[in-house]
Amino acid sequence: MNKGIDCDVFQDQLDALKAGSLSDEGMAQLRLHSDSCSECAMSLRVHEHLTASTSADLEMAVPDGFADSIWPGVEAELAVRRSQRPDRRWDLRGRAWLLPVMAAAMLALAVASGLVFTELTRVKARERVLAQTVAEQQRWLAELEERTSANTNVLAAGLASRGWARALTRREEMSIAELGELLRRVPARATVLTTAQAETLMGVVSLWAPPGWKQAISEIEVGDGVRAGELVEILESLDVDREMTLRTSRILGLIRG
Amino acid sequence: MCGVRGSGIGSKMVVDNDLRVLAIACRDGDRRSYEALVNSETRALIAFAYRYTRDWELARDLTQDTWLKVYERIHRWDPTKSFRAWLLAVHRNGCLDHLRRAWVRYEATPGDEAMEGLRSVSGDGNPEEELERREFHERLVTVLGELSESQRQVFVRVDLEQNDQQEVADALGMKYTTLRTTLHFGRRRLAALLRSMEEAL
Repeated sequence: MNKGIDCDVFQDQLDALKAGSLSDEGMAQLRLHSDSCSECAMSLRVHEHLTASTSADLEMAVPDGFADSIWPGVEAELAVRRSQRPDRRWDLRGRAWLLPVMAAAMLALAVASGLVFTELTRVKARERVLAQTVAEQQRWLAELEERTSANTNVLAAGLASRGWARALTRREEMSIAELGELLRRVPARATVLTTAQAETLMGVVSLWAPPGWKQAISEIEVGDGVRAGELVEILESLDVDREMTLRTSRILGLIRG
Repeated sequence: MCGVRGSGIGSKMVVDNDLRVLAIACRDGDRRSYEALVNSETRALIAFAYRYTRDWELARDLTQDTWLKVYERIHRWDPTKSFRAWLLAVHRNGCLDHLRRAWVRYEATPGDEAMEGLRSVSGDGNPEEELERREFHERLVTVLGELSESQRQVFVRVDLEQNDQQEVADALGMKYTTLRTTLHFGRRRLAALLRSMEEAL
């Protein structure tokens, strides 16, 4: 008889014995084999040793007081642990989930910082470009304004000259006060007398004008003509009777050269 | 307290749902529920540990350790699963740790000295028979350490804990036939090792 096969059958019968389904014949075979096979005999002994008591038997066999002593023991041990427990705010034991969460948070923070830094750098670069553009635009605007201003002055001068000249033609005489009032209606920066006209006026006026006028006229800067505002100031600074009349034909003659 | 003292892990006197309710309250910090759980399941846990130790005092100490672990780790229990199964898993790990310590002691100090370290003197019945049973159990536990991991795992669950083979196969994710083969080889190797040890004594 092949011993190995018998031993395999023996193991199956051992399982049947454990399950309570082994027949008397099977039990006899099992005993017979164990008498001739020391290893299977030991297996049977192990089986009998381990199945000597059922779980219910063992529970019933728990010595008196053993089960009742567990809770007081647990409670006392927990009290000791609580009294010895250090500050656990930074203790990660039992809070293993904190580690991956903190790592994820740190990573997210690092990524967010990187994104913010990149965006900041990009914005700064854009700001520099925009600042350069704005500076260029401002320079261009200043140039444009300067050119426009010059053109406006020329245009205004023409308009002003024509305008006050037309007004003068409507009257034969005009007092100094009326002349000042007429000039105030003209834009202050508008050139009302060109350089040549101003020089002619100064030359003529110096012949017949009162002494106070001569001084005032000599102080006029005629490098780029006389503006309406300047002429008003000159008229107001003259120490003369405001109602003194001037012949408009003479003034027109001066203007028209 | 909804449990009945001495109900046991295999018993249906305390249904899993009652345990779950207690365990959830315990997890939320209810001390009375924790006490109720301890009083409900302790006797079964001591009996379970006794299968490993054949020593009631050791079984009691292992059970107390298990309840302390449960107190610290109950937040790891998934309330959608059986509390009893989780409790048993915690307890089993504690008992296996005890066996591992015994194996380490045996490797460090083989022979009578190691046996003496595992020995306990308490017990009922015939003192000589009791001593013989204990010595045999100590040898059994010692040679368990010589089995392969899978053989040991299957032997412990099926023969030591006396669980149903199909249930163990399901729990370990093994085919039933694989479990039986592993168990049979494990038993025969264990028997051979025990025989060698007895012959050497």
